[in-house]
Amino acid sequence: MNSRMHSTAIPPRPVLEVADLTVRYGSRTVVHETDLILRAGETVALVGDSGAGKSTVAKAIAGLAMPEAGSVRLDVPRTGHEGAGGLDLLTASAADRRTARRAVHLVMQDPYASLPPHLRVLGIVAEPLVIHRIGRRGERGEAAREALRSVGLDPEQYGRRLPHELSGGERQRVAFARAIITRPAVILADEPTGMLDATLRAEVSDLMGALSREHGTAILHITHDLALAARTCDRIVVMANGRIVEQGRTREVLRSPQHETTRQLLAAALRGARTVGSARRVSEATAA
Amino acid sequence: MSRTLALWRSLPLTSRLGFTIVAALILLALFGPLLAPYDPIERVTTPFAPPSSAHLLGADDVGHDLLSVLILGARPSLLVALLAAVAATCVGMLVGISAGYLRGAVDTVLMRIVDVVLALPVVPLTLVVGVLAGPGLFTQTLVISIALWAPMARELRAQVLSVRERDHIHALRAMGAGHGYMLTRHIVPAVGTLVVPQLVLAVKSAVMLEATLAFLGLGDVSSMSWGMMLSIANERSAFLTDAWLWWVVPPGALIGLTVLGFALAGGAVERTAAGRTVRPTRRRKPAPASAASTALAQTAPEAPLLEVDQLTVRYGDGEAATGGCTGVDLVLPRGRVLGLVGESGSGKSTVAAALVGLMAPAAQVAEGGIRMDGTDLLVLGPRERRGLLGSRIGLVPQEAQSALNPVHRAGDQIAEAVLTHQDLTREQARARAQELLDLVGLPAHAFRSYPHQLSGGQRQRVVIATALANDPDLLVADEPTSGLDVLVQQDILDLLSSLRERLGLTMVIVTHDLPVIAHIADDIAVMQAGFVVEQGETLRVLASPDDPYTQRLVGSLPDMAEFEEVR
Amino acid sequence: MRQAGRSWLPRLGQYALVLWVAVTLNFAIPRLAPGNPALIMHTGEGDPTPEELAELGEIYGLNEPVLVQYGRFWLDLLRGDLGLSTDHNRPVTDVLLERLPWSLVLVGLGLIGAIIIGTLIGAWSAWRREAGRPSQDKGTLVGVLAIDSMPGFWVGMLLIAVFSAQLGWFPSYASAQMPEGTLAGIAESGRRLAMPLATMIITSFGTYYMLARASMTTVLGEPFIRLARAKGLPERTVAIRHALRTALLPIATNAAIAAGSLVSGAVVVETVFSYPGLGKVIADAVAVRDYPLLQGAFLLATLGVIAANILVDLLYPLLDPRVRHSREELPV
Repeated sequence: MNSRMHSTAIPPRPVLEVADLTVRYGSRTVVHETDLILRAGETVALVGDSGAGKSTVAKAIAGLAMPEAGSVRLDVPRTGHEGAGGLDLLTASAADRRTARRAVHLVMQDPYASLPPHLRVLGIVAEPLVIHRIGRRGERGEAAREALRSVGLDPEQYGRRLPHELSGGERQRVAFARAIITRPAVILADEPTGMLDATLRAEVSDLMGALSREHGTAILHITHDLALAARTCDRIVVMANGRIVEQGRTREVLRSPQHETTRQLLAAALRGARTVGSARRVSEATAA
Repeated sequence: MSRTLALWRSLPLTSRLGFTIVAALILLALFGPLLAPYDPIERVTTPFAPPSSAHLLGADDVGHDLLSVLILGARPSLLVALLAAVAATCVGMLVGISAGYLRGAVDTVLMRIVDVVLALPVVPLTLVVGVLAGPGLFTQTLVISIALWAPMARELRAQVLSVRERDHIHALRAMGAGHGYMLTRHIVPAVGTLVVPQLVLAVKSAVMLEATLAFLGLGDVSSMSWGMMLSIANERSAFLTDAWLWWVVPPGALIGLTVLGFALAGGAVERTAAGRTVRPTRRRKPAPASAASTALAQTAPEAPLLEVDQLTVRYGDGEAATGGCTGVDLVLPRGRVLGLVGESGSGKSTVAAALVGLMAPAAQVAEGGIRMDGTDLLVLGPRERRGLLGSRIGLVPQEAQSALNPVHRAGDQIAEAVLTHQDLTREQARARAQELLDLVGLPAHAFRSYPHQLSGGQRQRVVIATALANDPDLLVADEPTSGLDVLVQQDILDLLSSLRERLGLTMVIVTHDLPVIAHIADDIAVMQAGFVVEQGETLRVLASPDDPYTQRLVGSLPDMAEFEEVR
Repeated sequence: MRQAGRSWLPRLGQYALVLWVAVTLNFAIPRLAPGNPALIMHTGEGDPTPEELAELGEIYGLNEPVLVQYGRFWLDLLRGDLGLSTDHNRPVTDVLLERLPWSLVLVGLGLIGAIIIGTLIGAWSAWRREAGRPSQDKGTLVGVLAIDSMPGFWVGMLLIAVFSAQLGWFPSYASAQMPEGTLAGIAESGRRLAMPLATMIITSFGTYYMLARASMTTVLGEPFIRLARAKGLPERTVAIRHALRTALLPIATNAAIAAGSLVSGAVVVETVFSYPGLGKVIADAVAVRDYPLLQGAFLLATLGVIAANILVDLLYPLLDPRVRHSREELPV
């Protein structure tokens, strides 16, 4: 394996373990023998330029892309396969896979397309419960309202609205409310802030961090924005051309990046931030 | 009741017209026997009798009252069409949805069949079947259904495919939803609303086909449809006599009206593609310079290249007018780079469009002026404005990597920009284009390439070369980095920086991405909801923003200082 | 999008499939219909006697196994034998080939006229809408829809009524003889061709109007139009060299499909004008139930549509450089 590891402390239990994942689109290999581990309660950033294969990894885990080879093991409660390495989603039976889908949720990039246009917000948020036949009508409604509150949306105000009446940021919050309603162990967020305005990005990022801390959810935050990753993620995994080239604790990787790709991404993020930073320092200096 | 009324009012005028026509015709078909003054199969007057008060449309060659025949012709004309269209829609739906949703082998086989049926010529095929089956209602219905189901299956399959690929369907699959759930709760409801217009349009085709078949002799002789009326009129050469006016014109006109009615009701007029459109700005009256901008101008020793003065742009007229931008003041001295920052809806695109003179037709400049070297651009006529655009003002438009014409070579597109404003020979223009390619860092052989042979970053460079073709004083770059890979974005920004150095360009860069301009722009203007909320030197604004919105914007940028001591 | 080059083999396969289906339909339909298939082969007056039927059965091999009949059918076809026309009492092939040139002229010229007129008006319509004059566009659209809604035979009859019967400008029917080679002869055929041609164009241009309008509207929304304007090009250059040129691609793709309906349209037009082409032959055959002739015409029409498709496939790369040049990235 070609990645460079930085030092780690004693890790908590892994909930998701991806090993040797290889995904092909036609004749092109998009992901090469990739390994990934997610632990309970941690937020991991998966960064890389477009075409690096990061979205494909998420889709393979979520069951939207069929990998050629490898395994995706899920070790979470209530799937009937706790402990002993968990359940391999790729070789599991259809019934097991369906149950497992409650524990892994994918939040997609485009908030304008990921919500069904003909359902109201409460219905959208409660849908995973309907699909998995969890709870009765009344309970589902209450759970949906609770979920909306935890993402900062007032159910009285937003519950009966249709998606096209909401802004991009509000829609993405609804998507997150839908994500947490089954109390999944893992949330895969594929560029969740990519289509949002700058001021909202930080908010949504912070929201993900808060959800993670509150429910112990492991979050895989896929992004090309290194600055965003630096803000909220514990660990960072860098991909290029379908392979992981570097990973480790965020601060350590960004302080001394080893791989060329990491350096380039860091330089790009610093470009803009540097002026802001230096501007701040100038003003602090003059104020002093 | 009021909801129905509201629904009716929400329909476009043409659709309402269509529905009215269709409703009238259906009533005619239903109540025909009550309305017709005479029994159509009885001889009631002399053959070929001209119109009179007793017989408004005269008589045919046997002596039947034409008006009665006409009225009663509505039923067979419509009935066959409706039956056939419904049958075709059912088959088409079944085939289309199965193929589109299941894909794989089922899709391939079904679409092969559909393609073959579509390729066979309609009328000859229906004639071959029809002659064998013998004339009559059943034959007509059968034969028309055969002709109609295939295009409908194709259309519905395409719609199912596009619905199926939507993100929210993927999200549902990822959540573990089964096929049955998705079909019933999501796919069919989405497609269902599209089936109704398809059905209506199928009726339209069916009416036409019925008339054609009846005309050719495959109609039901016992019930005279309008097509059959015309068939008989043709046999009796009615168009050679005066009888054409009352025998030939009415049935055909009614057929035409029916077809048109269904077409309009089926939304034929509203199937339009959306598209953002821009047009050169129209002429406007000059406005006096405001005190603010004169004050700003006085601080700079040399006259600024560009001054925007209380610019206010509105979209639409009167009551429905929405804001584009309001009271915008900007000053751009020569050789400086201004970054115009704002999120979607902030008005920055409106200002940029006004600068170059490419505002949407709906945009009206309510007040204010834009002065370049003292000349108010907004009072110039379209031709003068066009003269400036591409020569003194260069624009790198949004989505530049898609902005090249796919059927012309890259070099030719640059040369075209040169030839528009300079009186050079083809050769000279080409040479200049080569120079420009070199200037933006592209190899010489890029000249002969078509846009699809270049990468996104390369296409962006070609567009920049186009904007620089005539040595503009001002370069306006609209979101120059959006849509590009992170690393390519850096390259483009570096290119713009170096061009600015080498050519002494004055630039306006419009973007929503603060870091992009933080390192290239000298001055920055932040826009929100149509207003300029803060402007000044970049360093100053970033270090200590006054306006709360700007503070939030700057605050959302991470401080990466701790990572800077690297390397 | 049409692709030439690599994918011509599957396309050719598709056309072959269509042809095979047409031939098989011709074979299967009479045998599937109730009654004795020999009935349709019967020439002469009145209903055939049982002896005549038996004899026909022998001649046409209708008592042999189905597969043998099918093989025979194909063999005859490849030899150019389409059977005997019951009405004309001549080989079907002869009748069809005799009338083919007339229809080719009518349909060919009609197609060209419809495409040109439809495309120009459609592109103009879309252009006006984008220029901020949607009412002009809508008005034109409704007008064209109204014209397109009129049945072809009705338009023909009206033209005859007005221009022949009332005004006497044009003859109401075409002659059955081939035109003489002289200038006068050609002018005379021109006069006779004028009204059928006008009818064809009037009833078919609507389809191309819709195509052109939709295509132009899409193109006008593309970013490269903005760039063309950004260069300061005059509006007309933007309209023609950039917008229309690119809009032609989807029109070309769909042109072949629409051509099929023109063939159908010719049937009624020729009937109304007694124009001695294939369409009239078909219409007459329907009236007298001349089945072999109908089958032959159907086959010929299918061949025509396939030929039109192949022609467009060959010409398309000339219009679209993306197909001409495969995707090669430039080394940077």
